[in-house]
Amino acid sequence: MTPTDDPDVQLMLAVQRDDRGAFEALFRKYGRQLVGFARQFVGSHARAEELVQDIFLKIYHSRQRYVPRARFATWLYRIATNQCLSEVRRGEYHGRMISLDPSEDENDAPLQIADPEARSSEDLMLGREAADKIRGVLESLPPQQRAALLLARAEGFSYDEVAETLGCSVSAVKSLVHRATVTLRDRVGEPQ
Amino acid sequence: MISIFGHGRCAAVRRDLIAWIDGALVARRAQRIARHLETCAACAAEAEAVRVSVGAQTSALRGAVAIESADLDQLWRRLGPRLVDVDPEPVGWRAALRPLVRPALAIGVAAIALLVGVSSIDGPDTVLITVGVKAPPLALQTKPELFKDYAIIQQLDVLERFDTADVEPIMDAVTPAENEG
Repeated sequence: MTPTDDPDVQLMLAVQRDDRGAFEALFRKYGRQLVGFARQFVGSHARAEELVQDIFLKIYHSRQRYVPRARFATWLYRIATNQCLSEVRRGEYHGRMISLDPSEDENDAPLQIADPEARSSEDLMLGREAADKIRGVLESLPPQQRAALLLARAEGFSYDEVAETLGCSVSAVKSLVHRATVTLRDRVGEPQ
Repeated sequence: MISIFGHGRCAAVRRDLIAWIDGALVARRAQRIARHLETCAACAAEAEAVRVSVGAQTSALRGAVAIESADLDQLWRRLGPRLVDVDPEPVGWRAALRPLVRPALAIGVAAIALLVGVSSIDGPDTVLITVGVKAPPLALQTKPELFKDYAIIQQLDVLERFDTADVEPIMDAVTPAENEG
């Protein structure tokens, strides 16, 4: 599959021609999952939403420089990851634990986790518990490992795409994903 | 001896199991691992455990990232007005020159390779003189095989530290006596 076969690439090329509808379509397609991705770096749901707005502003601003070399998602997540990592580098979120209790942060919308694997309410509960637990461990991972793991597992990127997104080699991605997976396995424990 | 080699192979296979399960290894390495797992029960059991663990992590991570509460309509209403003020980033002279950069780099690398090749035949003088080192120290003249890239590296070094005028030139610091010792 060449980049131009990707329908999102076509949408982005339309954005280049100042098609606001195409931009809105991309926003609606990726906005929610980017909020979920950004939240793993900044902790707060409200801040994640602001960050996603900044990401899309950046995309709109740099639309003329877009060159379709790979899937659109790779380019999008490259911008998103850079934005998230620079937020983390600012240090504002260092050591901050993620609150899953909406009452602790009244400005944040209540978090509802949609587990695609969950079928019954019991499954949903177990899925939420696993997600809660894994979120705490994710917070403790170095940001680069966290980004590599989320891209590879949650977003389904290949190691090549993760490398393209993070701007590093595939070997480095292999190492980042390996370390993060082992840490998660050690801290979260084996599946029941 | 056999068990030592066997353990070494097992260790190497286990190091690559996660990447293998993620389908991220080159075909030849992936085939080797698959063949090893057919003959090594311990590694096969470990591979199965890693596969289950990676599957559970993937599911949990997707659950952790997936959220339903982001109100995209509201977000779009907030984003829309901000787009009005955003002019497209101009495609500057750097972007315009970008297509020319790769050929220029290729020509530069080829020129350096040619210089180094010529210098290996005629001694170090050609490359040294070409990059502006007219009087190389004796150490460079007597041991060209050790200093083939010296002048180029020195030039790079000077470029990197162009703002530190007080740094002594490396050239002066190298004396034949030091190198012979």
